[in-house]
Amino acid sequence: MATKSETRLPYDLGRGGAGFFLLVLGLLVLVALGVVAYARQWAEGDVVTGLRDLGTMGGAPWGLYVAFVVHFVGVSFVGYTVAALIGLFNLDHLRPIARMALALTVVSLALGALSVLADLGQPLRGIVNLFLYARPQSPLFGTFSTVLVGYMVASLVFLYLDGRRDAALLARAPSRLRGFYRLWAAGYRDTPEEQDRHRRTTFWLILAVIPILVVAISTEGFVFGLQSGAAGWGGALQAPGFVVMAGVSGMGHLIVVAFTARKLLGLQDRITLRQFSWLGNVLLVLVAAYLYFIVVEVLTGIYQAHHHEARVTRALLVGDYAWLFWLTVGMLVVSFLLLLIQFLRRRYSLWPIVLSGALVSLAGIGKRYLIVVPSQTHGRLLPYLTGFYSPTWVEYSVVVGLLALGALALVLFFRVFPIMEVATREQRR
Amino acid sequence: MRRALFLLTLLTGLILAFLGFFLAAPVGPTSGPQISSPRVQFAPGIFVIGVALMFASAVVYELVPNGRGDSRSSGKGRP
Repeated sequence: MATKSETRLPYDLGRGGAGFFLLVLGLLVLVALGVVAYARQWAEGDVVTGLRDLGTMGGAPWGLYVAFVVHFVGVSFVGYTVAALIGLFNLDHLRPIARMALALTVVSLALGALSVLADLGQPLRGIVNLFLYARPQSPLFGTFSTVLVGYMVASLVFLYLDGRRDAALLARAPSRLRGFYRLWAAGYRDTPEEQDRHRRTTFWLILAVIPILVVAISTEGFVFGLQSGAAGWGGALQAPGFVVMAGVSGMGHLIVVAFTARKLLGLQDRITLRQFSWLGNVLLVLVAAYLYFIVVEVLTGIYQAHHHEARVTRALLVGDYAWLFWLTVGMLVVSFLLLLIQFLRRRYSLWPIVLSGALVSLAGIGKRYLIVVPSQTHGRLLPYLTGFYSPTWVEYSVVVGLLALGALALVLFFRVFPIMEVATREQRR
Repeated sequence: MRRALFLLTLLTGLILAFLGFFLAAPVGPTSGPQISSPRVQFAPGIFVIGVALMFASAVVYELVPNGRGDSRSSGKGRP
């Protein structure tokens, strides 16, 4: 309970309520489900999952977990993309969604790292050996060092420095969180010199991180693309496809998160249709580019392709994975059409943009699954029988637990730290 | 002092990243254990620490005051 001397902070900071506690409780239950499932996997081994060795075991050693590694890392693309749009192109009206984009990035990267650990039979051994023996020429090393360390540290640094001004403002008011805000502000006083310094830091961080980010996500594509012995992964579009899909799913998630925050925190006056229309237009371009990539992939996969490649493409178009493939493509096409119609009419409304964001987010998961699994079950160059992979309840539970953990982290973070700049709100008053 | 500390952190990170990269397993075909093992134990870890330090130098750049008179003891100052 807040005492009378405490000031009510903006954006419901530090406040609870029945709805909030129910939400946290629900998410904790889902996290617990994931922990229980992972405990079972830890105790009994990967045999409780649907993952099996290639070839004679007729399975896929990379399944749902790896699909979600790719997905989470892809979603993380959005933080610096929005920061770059603001910092380099002066799109200041996107500022209200910049912090949630950065927080989404940090949480997604953490979930990506946890998904890698979930996929490893011996996670601790994996971490130790990575630091001891990783080879720089391996795409896995590049993904780990640039995505999970470089990009994570850069995002945390950006989030921290970006929040200092708000922390300093909030530290002025008496509240239970005052000590926390003072610690975060670390003496920030918003002098012109400090503002100037922060602008410079932001500019150079964006310039340093954007190329690293593109390389990092491309490297993730190379994890698949540079493997020999599997059809379907070797296309030249693998790396650029990963980058564009990262943008698609990142923007999709951001739209959904921004809409949720707007509804839950009553931010209709701050997160307006203007921001959503911008995100929608960026998403439109990215979805169009990705649909083009899919068409090119399918055409080259069925027209004079080597029979191994053609086999994977057939599995996607009319075989075991056809339902997921067409569902994924359908969601992308519907999103594209919704966004295109709005763009052509120059009249925007919220629900088609939010629906498109939700659809491309789901399509992103489906496409990652289709990238990871079919090449293992249907694309082996050695004369193995067709493989099979079906995730078990353990894998589904771990993934649901991870998603709930991410949502919980965002909910709790934005309960103690402002979801957008406080200063602007004060200036408006 | 601020610039010096910032440059020190940045350069240390850069050097560690380069060292880590070149002391890890040599680039080339994996023809044997001497090729696939790192030249120095924990070299990939050194690389990772270097990368992290490079980005952390931004914090040094913003947090460390310019000179003696520039106090940063609390968030009480009026923005």
